[in-house]
Amino acid sequence: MSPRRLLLASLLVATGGCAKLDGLLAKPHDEIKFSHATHLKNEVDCELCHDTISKSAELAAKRELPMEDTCIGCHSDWKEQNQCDKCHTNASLAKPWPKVERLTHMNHELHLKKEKLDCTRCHVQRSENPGILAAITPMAACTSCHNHEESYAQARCDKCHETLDRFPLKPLASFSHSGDWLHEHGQSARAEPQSCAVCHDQQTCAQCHAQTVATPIELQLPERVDRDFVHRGDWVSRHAIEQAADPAMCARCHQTRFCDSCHTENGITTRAPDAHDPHPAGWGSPYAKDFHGHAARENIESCAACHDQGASSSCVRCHKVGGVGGDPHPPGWESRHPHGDIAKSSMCLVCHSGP
Amino acid sequence: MTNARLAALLALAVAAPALAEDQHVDATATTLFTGRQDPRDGDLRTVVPVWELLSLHATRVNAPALDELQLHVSGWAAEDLGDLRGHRRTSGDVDLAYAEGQLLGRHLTLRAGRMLVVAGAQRPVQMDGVYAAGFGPHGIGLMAWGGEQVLPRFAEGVGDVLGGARAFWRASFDTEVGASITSTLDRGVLAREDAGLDAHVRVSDRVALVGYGLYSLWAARLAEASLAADVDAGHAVQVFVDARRTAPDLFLPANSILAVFSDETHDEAGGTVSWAATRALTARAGFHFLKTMEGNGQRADARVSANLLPARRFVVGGVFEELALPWNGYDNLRLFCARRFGDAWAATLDLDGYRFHERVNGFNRSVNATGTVQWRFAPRWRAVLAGVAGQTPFLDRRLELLGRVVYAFGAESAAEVWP
Repeated sequence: MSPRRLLLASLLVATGGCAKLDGLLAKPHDEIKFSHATHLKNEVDCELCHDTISKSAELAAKRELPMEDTCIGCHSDWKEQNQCDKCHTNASLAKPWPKVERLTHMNHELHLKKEKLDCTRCHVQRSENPGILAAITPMAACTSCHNHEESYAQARCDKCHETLDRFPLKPLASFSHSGDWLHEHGQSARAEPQSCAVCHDQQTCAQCHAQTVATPIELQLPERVDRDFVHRGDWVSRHAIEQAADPAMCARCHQTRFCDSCHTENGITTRAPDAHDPHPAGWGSPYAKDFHGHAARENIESCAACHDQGASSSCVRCHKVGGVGGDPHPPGWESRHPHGDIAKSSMCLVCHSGP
Repeated sequence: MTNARLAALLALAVAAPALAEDQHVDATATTLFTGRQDPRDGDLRTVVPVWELLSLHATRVNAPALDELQLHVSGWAAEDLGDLRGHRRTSGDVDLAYAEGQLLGRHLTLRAGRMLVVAGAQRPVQMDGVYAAGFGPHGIGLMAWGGEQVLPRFAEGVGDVLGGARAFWRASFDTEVGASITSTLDRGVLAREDAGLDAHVRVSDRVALVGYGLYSLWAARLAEASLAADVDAGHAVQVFVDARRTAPDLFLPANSILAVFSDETHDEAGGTVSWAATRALTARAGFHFLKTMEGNGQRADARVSANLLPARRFVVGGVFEELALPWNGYDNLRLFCARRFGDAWAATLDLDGYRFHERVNGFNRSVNATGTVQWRFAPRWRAVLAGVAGQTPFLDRRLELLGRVVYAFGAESAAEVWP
């Protein structure tokens, strides 16, 4: 096996080896029965159970929840009498607190110093369940102290929010992704790139806009029948029509070499071994309806899809200074490009190589 | 792709679970394979490529003197098991590989590595370089970027260096104006030099205007200009009206021998109306008038989508498109449905037909059907199998098979979305 194949195989194995199959079927599990209301009524101090919270400088994957030893500190009699069901729904399946994803930046240590250990200042009691403190504080609790108008106005939500793409947010108003968003989003992205970045990381854009992607997104996501894709459907058969409808369309993402490579493979360009001429009759005659000069003036990008080979381009043969093709420049060219510009460009010198 | 790059991706794949212990990590590993016919100048090849795609995005990575550090890497490797698609049996590349840090109270963002840049006069470009963006008082800011443009596949060894900057004023999250300049060199020769103005302005609660203008400095001509109005017309109706002019020849680099042959203009004007009739029913219709150098044309489309069961468990829809040009065009009708069965299974069907106004390769019809089955066989695991069958002007009988297996290392919500 070649080294490259071995590396590819290793990549596949590592990917599978890193992942754990987390159970094929739903399994029974244990839940902790706990009432904040009862403990608050008995004036149990928050820090008695959440003993690590006052030193917490950042929300971590490990939750600041008490372990069994903390509970047993008061409820040792239940433990001694094996009354596990006082706290556990299924004690035989008990395991450590699961990790959760933290989506906001928060320094408990600083906040508790300021609020002098009053947890209810932020962890407000839920009105529908008095005595149950909300583990996740509402944004209003944060903004009751923090003036974030400037950050909000500038869509710099990442001061507090890890990411917004986990929330069930729907883009509204200017950012509504309804309509023909596929063709409209570019304008918004140019004018407000950082607004897009609030919800989308670069992978979202790279799936379509990166030059190096493995395959078009249409090929990767065939099940996304609801999405608009640029190359959806029989793109090969219709791409020439689309290019004529919007000559800049292909060029926004693809260089002409991309087009040239496929056209060469299909024997359309002169570089192909058995090239067959795709041009209509009269292509070379200035008196014919299908004279190539008209096509070049109207859609030079379609010519470039096969003929853009720099100094080797077939156009140079006829259109260089002194050639039979005549001046290829459009009207008004000389007024924008003085003769002195020729010496500044190696490409100009390909045709203007004479005195 | 070098062994070093593949090894780096392999290391990241192993390291991803370790990173996830303390930092926040979104990562996916995707195995993708297809089998299809590839027509080449009368020959029919059977290509069976297999890809492995890895993507990793780590945030809250500990770093001194930084408010935040993010790492983002994604790339792929591929092997052609059947006939070669290109000139090599093994290929691969890196799509993104950058580190991004925020400092000075998150007023300054610095990014280095392989990234995408889009802003103002800079059309979306993938580059290896650096990017910086800073916010000052009163919403005034500056962004700048520079580096080497990433070569697309099939390209020769050309080194394109690019750079640009954009100054902006951000009044609110949906009102921003900017001025920018960008320049690209190709082996020391100017390939592109554009100056631009852009704006997204909320005029009222219901109306926003968005537009930009791009001026080619080397050609001394307008390269692109666009103006659109986004109107909330009430009753769940949104109207988008836009007009655009482009100079398509200016999309060729300035050092292309063909960049000096024409002064083209292309105009489009029209609009799109979207209507969310109910939570379950949405519709959209659009029309654009086209004015090209080759003649006038039009593009029209209509789309309707309905959720027949709650929570998008059964979605059906249809799309009609028409493109009419003086020398050719097409009518397209697409019907699709997506059905979820329980939490683990889903299936889709997509029927797509074209009628060309003039024959393409001697035929004026193209019909394709795509069916998929998806199976979430374990938490964070998902498999998709797709088959395509049809007939096109270039293929008497089109048959394709595609399979994909995805594992999401990060949170469940980072996994792919059901239709």
